[in-house]
Amino acid sequence: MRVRHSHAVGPWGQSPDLPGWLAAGDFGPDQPATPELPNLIGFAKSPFLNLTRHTMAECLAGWHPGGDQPAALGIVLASVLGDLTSADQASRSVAAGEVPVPMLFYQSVPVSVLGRLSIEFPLSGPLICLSGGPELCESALECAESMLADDGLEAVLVGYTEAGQDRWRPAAARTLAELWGQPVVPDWDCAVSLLLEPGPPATAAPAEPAGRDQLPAPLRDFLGMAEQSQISEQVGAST
Amino acid sequence: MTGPPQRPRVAVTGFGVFSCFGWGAEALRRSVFEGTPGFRPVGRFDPAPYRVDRAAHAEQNPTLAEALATAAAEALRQAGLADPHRAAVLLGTQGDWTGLTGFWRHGGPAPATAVAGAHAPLLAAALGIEEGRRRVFNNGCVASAAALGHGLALLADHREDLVLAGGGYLVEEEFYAKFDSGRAFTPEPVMRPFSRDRAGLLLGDGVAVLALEREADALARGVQPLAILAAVGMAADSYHVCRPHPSGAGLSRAIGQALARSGVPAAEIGYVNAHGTATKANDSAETAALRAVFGDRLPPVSSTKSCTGHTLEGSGALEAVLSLIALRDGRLPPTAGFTEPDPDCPDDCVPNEPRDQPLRAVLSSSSAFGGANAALILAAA
Repeated sequence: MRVRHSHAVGPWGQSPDLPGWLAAGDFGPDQPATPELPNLIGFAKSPFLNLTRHTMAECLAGWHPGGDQPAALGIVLASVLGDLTSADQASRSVAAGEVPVPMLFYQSVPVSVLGRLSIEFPLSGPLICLSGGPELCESALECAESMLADDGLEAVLVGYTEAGQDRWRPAAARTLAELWGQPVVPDWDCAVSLLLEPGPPATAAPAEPAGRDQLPAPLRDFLGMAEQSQISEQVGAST
Repeated sequence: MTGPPQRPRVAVTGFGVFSCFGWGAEALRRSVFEGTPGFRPVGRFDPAPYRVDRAAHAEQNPTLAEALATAAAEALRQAGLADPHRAAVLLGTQGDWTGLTGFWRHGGPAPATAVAGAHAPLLAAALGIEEGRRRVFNNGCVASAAALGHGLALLADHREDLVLAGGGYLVEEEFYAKFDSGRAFTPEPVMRPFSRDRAGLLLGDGVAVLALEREADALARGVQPLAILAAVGMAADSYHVCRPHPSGAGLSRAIGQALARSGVPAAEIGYVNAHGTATKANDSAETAALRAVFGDRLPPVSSTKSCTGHTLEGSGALEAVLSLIALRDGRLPPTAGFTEPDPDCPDDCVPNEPRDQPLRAVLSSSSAFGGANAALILAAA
């Protein structure tokens, strides 16, 4: 598989700022705020949904399969914790003895935002969501590889999002760090999306620079893929 | 013929379940194949804030992790693989949200089991399985079907030799509250899939884990496969976030893919275990999808959710087990609670009574929010 496009949003800002942020090597908890994105129409406010939609839409905007039928493109969305804002809002309602707002009915599962994307572009491939630990990126890529091989797809969009700042997040992050023996959730909101097509990688995987082991493994792996793609796209644009 | 010749066939060699009827596949089989619904007043939490107070939950109250571990251990025992060193563990679940409710009500540490992705490594650890992929799918009601499909791919590609695939949901307050808010529940005491007066769904307990391996490997160690997992197809509707495409566009694509991949001719499918949620929109869209694929030769279609309730992420795996039992026993489980036909629903939904019918291959369909669809084909070994 090769990365056709990528887009990443986080404390670095948008994608063009990612290589500089990675090169600076400061991955501590005190980071600039992740850019706030427009709220997704039809959904209760959730940074997870906004970041996922934005990064995936940026990848799809530059992809033109042609034809008037939905494109044979599948999506894999990976997240350790999922849509915390939607979950927390519903949980608070339940804890208070109240009925959650109706939008949280379909926001109860992350696949809904993928359905929203499949309508917007439109897309007909499988919609997969994954949760996991340190090997989340590898899992998502292997799912994408299987989908490209077995389902006859033109491309697979693989996304990674962690977002939502409430007191559940640090509590869950601590518990999961104990379970996995390493941190698996960043302190800040971020999303990375990769549009993958069949074919050999455009560039060889670079050696991982020192200092990146401070990053939780899923984020580090996804950012590495996005960085590679950014470098390739910049090289392509300048030649 | 079952399966493309160039890829090895994948067999189901064991399964274990927990449902509203309690522990084990026999309790499930006895009730579902007699058309006995498992709905009862909700006893696990106070349903007073909600419009509806019924669900298909068991008398027992295991945690999701306990139910998954027991079901998986049974699947391994049945497969004659009591103590595997390596196996992929692939689950469809959103996690155990009783932990999230407890956190917001009472504080304290966050339990790992509230996070979906923790369940695969926890299950592997509970079974003493040291190596293999651990993956959790949380794409709503197609999650455990997706886990089964991924397991099939891993085995067919020789990336794993043994896969435990399945998933689960146990009735709890978080999803109950959200489905109540979305007005998905029927006000009636039972679900009535495919009936003209159907009015919605009720939630249910459903945990199922299947042991999968290549057929040749199973035969080589002297184990007779229970069935062949011939194919899983998945496709999106590209239509609406929480309503199916009225023509069943995505589901018919998923079924078409599964048929093409399996090599099973459509005429050989003798029974369809439908998603059948008893909502107006789902049942008619699903019927349209099936009619698009099978034309006027639509086989009998039933919804076992009429007995088990909607088991959300567990439904794909639980209904795969029910489909396998139908295939094994040559007996169709009925659609319970059926009242009167709807022209937009299957002509033969096996109303209220089981039926004996020899089967060579069966289809199980699942749909989820976002317009995600899955179709799974099981064939006789």
